[in-house]
Amino acid sequence: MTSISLQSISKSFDNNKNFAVNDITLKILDKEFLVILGESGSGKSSLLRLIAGLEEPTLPGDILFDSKNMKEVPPRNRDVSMVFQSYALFPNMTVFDNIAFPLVASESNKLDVDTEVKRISSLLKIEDLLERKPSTLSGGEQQRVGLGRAIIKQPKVFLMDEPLSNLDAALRAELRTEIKKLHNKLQVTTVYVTHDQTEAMTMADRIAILKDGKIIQVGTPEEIYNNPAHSSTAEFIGSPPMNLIKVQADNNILTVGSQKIAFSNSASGSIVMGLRPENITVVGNNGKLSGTVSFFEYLGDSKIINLTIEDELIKIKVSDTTGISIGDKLSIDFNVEDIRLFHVNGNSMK
Amino acid sequence: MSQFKKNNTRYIRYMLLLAASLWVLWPISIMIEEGFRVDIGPLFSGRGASFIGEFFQGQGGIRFSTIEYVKALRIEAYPRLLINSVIIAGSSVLVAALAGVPAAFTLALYNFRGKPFITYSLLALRTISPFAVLLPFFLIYGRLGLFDTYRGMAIVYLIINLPVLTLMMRGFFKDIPKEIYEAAFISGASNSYVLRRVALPLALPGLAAAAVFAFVGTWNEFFYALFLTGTVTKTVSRGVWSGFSESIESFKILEFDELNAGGTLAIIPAVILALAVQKYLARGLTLGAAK
Repeated sequence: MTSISLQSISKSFDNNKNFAVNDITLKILDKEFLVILGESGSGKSSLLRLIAGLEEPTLPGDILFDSKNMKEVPPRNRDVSMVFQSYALFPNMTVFDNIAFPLVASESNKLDVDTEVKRISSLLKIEDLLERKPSTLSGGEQQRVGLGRAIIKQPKVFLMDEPLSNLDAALRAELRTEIKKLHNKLQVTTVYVTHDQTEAMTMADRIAILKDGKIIQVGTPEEIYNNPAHSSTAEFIGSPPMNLIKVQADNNILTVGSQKIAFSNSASGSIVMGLRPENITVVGNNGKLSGTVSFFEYLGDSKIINLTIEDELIKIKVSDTTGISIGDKLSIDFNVEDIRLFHVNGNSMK
Repeated sequence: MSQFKKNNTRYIRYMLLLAASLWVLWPISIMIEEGFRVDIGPLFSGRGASFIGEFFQGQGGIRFSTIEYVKALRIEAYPRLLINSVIIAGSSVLVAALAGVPAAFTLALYNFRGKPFITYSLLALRTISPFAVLLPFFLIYGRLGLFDTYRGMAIVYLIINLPVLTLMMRGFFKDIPKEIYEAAFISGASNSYVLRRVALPLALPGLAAAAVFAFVGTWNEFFYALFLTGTVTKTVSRGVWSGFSESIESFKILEFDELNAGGTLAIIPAVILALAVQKYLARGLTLGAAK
């Protein structure tokens, strides 16, 4: 039962010249699975480490667990657990000792170590590995041990720092489901850091998107997918991501090169039009825009047509490309409600 | 062509290494050789070398013999010197490790005011000339009654061993990935628990290397031993220089064959220890700078 509240938190590693985390205010709800999504260098790991207490905020700012200020509380007394990208298992200890570590190491523990380790290891399906050393395990098994070590002490908060980034694709998908299942079962407030938008979309209750140390959007996966607050968010989410097309706006008319789309809006001058590849359909003729087929990408279940419209390359997601070949003239259509407009600086227009 | 060039530079490198090692091994080889020689001339003193007809019979002169080793170990006070050295070096290294390991842990993991000063002070201790501190030690030891005592010698060698243990262990502790420490602290472990159960087991080979390095350094140390030990605590390094006799107190004329045998015996433990940890020794000597 813990909510986390960050109140104007900043972190600089070079005497306030650059800020890895720049004045972030964020409320993480009780039992929530919040994913912090950002590219490398966006400050997402620093933010997580600030919550853990492994870093101290540079400027005045508070981190509250429920209503308790964590300022003077060292990491070991914050009652959080952390899962690391590098697993960070103790190489000199067996799997059993690794999982039991939080119980054995803290004086205040009242749980029975043997019973708890058995329970956790069967939950994570690693009960056969208990006598092994971490170096003899696969990456996926090692991270299961890491998860076991994190959940055994029943913390108030789980912090996960790109836990799946070192695993191959199949394992990643498997453990993704597993972590989500664990969260549903344990109902512990979780902050999960990743650069992988698929992880963010599939696991999150809410996503916070971080760029250059600032939060540019917080919302449910649906909200972020449907209404990106910034063109960089639009580019980050979805596969393939949203098409961003330079257009001229004037009097409720958007102009792409020489082609015009009627769309009621208040903008004028140079702006950016966003359109999701899956919201575009190919029509015989009389579509809203037309262009030339440049190349195809095959995704298995679907195909991407790359269409050149007056110097702009647009991706269209379709299930079938029969009868279309490179060089063909193609007309495309879409609902104008699916259009999203952005200022040239990236901010979305409302 | 390039293969030829590559081979050539390799030969040159080997030749240089060979020359360097010969330069180092030359005096040692002389010592070892001299230790195995005995001058049996004095047995025939007064009679001179024997001749039968015009042929030299070889009763006098130099012979190969292990007699000096037997004498050193069986008859004379040499074992006592070895024991003194083991006691002094061992206790000094033990105390240095007890103090230096926690200090190294703190220096490796935490930032605090005065940390650079402490680090450089430790480094400065390594560079101080023994002459600078010998006289103060001499005076203080005289007053405190520490002259020629095991305690006194163990303390004086802390000057060498504490910086070695601390700086080397700091390097080994820093070699352990940061996340391992963080995982341990977040799990709720205290500083001393992390040191005892996580850091020290992982840095154990490093601790062995640092301890051996300090032990061998103390074993070989001569200057402080020369001035601060007496008939009770005389160490093997001093004994090899000043000679040893039937008892540690007695004085006798220097016999070079005997000293060379003693010297050869004295380097054996040092060489064995160094070989045992040589893999970690090179890394430890860079104080954690190289990985």
